[in-house]
Amino acid sequence: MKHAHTRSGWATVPALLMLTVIASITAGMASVSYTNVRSAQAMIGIAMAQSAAESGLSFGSIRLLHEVNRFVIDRGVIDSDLAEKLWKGTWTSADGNITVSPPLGYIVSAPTGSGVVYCLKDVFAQVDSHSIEVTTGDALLPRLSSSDSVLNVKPIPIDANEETYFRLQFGLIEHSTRILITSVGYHNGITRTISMEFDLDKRIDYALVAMSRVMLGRNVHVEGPIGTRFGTDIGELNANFGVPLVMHSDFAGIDPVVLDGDIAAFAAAILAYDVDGDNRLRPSHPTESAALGGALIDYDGDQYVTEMDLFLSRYDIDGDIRVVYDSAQASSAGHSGMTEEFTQDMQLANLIDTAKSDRNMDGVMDSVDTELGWNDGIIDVRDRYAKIDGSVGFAVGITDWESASGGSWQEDVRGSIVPDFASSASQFQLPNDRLAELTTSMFADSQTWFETESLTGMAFGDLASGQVQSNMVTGSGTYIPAGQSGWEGVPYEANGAYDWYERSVYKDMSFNNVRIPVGTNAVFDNCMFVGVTWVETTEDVDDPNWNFAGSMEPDGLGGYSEQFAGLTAETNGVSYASTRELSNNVRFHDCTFLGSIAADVPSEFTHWRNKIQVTGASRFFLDQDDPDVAAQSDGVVLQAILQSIDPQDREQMARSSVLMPGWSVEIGAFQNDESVGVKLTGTIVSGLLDLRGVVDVHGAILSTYHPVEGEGALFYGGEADAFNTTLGYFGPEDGDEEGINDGMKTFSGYGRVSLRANPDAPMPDGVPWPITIVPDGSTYKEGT
Amino acid sequence: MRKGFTVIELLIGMAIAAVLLTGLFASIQTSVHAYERSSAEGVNRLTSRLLVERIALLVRTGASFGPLPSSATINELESDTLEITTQNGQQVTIIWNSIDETLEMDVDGVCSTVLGGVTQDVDGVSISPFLLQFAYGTSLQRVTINLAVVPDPKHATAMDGAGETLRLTASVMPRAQLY
Repeated sequence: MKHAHTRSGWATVPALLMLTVIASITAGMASVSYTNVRSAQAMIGIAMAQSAAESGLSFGSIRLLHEVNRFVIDRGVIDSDLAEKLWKGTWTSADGNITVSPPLGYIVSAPTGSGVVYCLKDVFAQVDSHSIEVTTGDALLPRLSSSDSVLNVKPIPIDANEETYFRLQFGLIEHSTRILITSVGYHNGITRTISMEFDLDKRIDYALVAMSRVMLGRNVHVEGPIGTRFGTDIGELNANFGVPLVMHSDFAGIDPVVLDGDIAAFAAAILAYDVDGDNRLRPSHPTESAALGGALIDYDGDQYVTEMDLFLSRYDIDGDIRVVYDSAQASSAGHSGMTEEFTQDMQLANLIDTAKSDRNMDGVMDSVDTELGWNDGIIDVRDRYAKIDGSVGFAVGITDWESASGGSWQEDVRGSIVPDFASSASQFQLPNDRLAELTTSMFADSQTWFETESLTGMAFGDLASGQVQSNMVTGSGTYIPAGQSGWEGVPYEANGAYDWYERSVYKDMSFNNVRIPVGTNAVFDNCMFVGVTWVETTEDVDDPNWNFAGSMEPDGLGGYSEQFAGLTAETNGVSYASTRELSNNVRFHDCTFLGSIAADVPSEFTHWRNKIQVTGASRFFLDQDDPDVAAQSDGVVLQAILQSIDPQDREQMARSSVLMPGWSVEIGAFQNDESVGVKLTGTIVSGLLDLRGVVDVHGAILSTYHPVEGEGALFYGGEADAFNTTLGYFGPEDGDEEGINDGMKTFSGYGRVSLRANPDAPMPDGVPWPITIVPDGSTYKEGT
Repeated sequence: MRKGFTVIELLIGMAIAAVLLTGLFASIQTSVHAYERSSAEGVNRLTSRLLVERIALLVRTGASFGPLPSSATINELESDTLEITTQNGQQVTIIWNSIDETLEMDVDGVCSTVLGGVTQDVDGVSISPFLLQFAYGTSLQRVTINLAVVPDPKHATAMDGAGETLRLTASVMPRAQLY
């Protein structure tokens, strides 16, 4: 026994040693593992908190957008003063007409205030049911700061265990139009804070809004959404020309043998299988791909089959998936040795190739844009062709349209529609707060500044006085009296002219803040207009004969005679045999406008009498930094003149380059001559607008005239669909009596019209439109 | 006579003790090495993660980025460097030094090493630490960070060789583009 006890003691020593070793290893491993687990948990926590914060920012911005969208204002620009009033609900009637629409999809039973911040507070307090209370103080939320500037809301969890959540704070930045959203994400004690600024803004994202039927012809491209409220009045929709939008294919008619057949097959496939109304078919889509194959393939590999694919496959002779139309241009762009493959319609080719000019979106057009396919003499996938690069919106329902027209709406609307991300290509039954009814009276306030500014210049005058005399004295100007200039039809060069004028001509003159007197009815040839050009007319023109009294027509004997002898019209209790001297029908040819053109507002649309036509190589500029100004041959002179304009005046004029509600405005010529073109910038407000020939518009078009049968210009008959907002060339077969049909054309082409929306452009006052928020990604910040 | 140890017993006892102590020291040394290595890996992993998160933060909040592709038609660029201009105008460049196998951060001309053991070697294949994806030539849409990091080799033991390569990846969009 004693011996065995001794051996047992020896064994204890190594055993203890081994235990010590194992324990130390285990402790070390456990410590390391614990550290690793903790660090991994910390990283997960950081990621969770970060995700929660970002979710909060997205949620907060959407909630803010929804509430802000309820505010409809008619002031064109939101400044810091108005922003504060909108935020706090302290506006007065001096701030214009401000209405707050009821919320969409939910009800706030007890509103606590009228400002944006109160709407936000109410929706968080009375509608959102997913908030939680983490600390005792959370029971008091949502809460406004004493100055009503900052709103804190209850935490909102993003997981079922409520371990991860975010807190939001909305605050108006003092003396600015910006709202700061701060989102703090939480996860197990870890917090991440992010914030970003959102600008309160009023902008019409549309490139074109019309109350009339809209017609977009061949060789017309629109960058931005378009919308029309045509069709909501009883009887407007019909099977003749009574549809809200007519849009022609850019490619139909170029090659009747092959391409037209492919386009017809494609159109049939669109009618049968286009499920999202964008006039494109996706090869990867189970339904849209059903009719693809044969000629209908995604030739350029952009994941869509469009008319562009048919065009490319038709004319790509060498199989390089691009079509060269100008080898010299291609060579100068770095693609030498290429052979021209398409020469049938250079205006179309040029239109496609020069679309989306700032392709890398850096604010300048340069060689990088050419590298990305801009103006490189080649048509290919890099040009990202779209007939409309935006959505199309209608006040009418699709069923009403199709039951009236007797066919699919897509039979009237051809060409690919490429909407913004997450937008529908075609939108129907748009309510008034998304596509407002425009009227001439809306712009009454916005015209005040323009009229006042026009009065600061010298009188228009004549050979013996005013600005005309000044031009004559300096020897630069020429005046030709009406009797010596010959007669010209209205519209200018139109096949179906409805009136004739013997115009006086003012040539090579410069005007500064000028008012063109009522009854001038002249041609301004190669003139420059700086500042505000105001066109006077009689405003009380409700007499249904106003449009026609005194109209002339060729008598067939080489002379001209009255069309409606004996017809009189009355204004202010006085009767007139001719209304010409009480109206203004003016044509500007090869003119340069460094400012805006505005006018008295006739009470009725009277397109025979109150009309301006802009023809030749006329130009509208306002911003001396506009790259288009620098590109002009006299760019340096133009820049110097623009710089001399008071910045505050320029800011006002930037709201509208053409402010002529109720007027007929025609821009461009019927001959579609490539050598002359008109450039316009800013918002164009008119009764009806026609753009023809070679025209480039960078801004928005607002057409106010809503034709009503039996009223105004339709008093003696005719249908509402005869009055269109027209971009591009149309003939009688499309319901446009001013032009000629395709088969009879003898002119030099279809022209090319480019309308590019500029959502950043300030708006004229008067248009009641919902305000919005514009996120400024450059203000995204992490941390406090 | 039986109360003491014989020389032979002592020698046997000492021999056994020596064997045990040798084993013990070897075990302790191995466990210390393992601890050091694991610690190094842990620290390395933590440091690397923090660094990746720091780079991601710079990308999320950055104002402009580089390097740019040689042509506007190139949409992807693999790079050993990532240039970021912050919203307050700071110039930050993150550089992989392939010779020293380090990641360096240059802030307005002041450069410092922020991570060691950045071999960028994955099974014998060298990978780029940064993949920059552009839209329309110059507009950065996304940065993918792809780091291959090994712990400090001095902590490796003969038994387990070099430490396992730690792979750290993250893909980040600049928020100025996102919103």
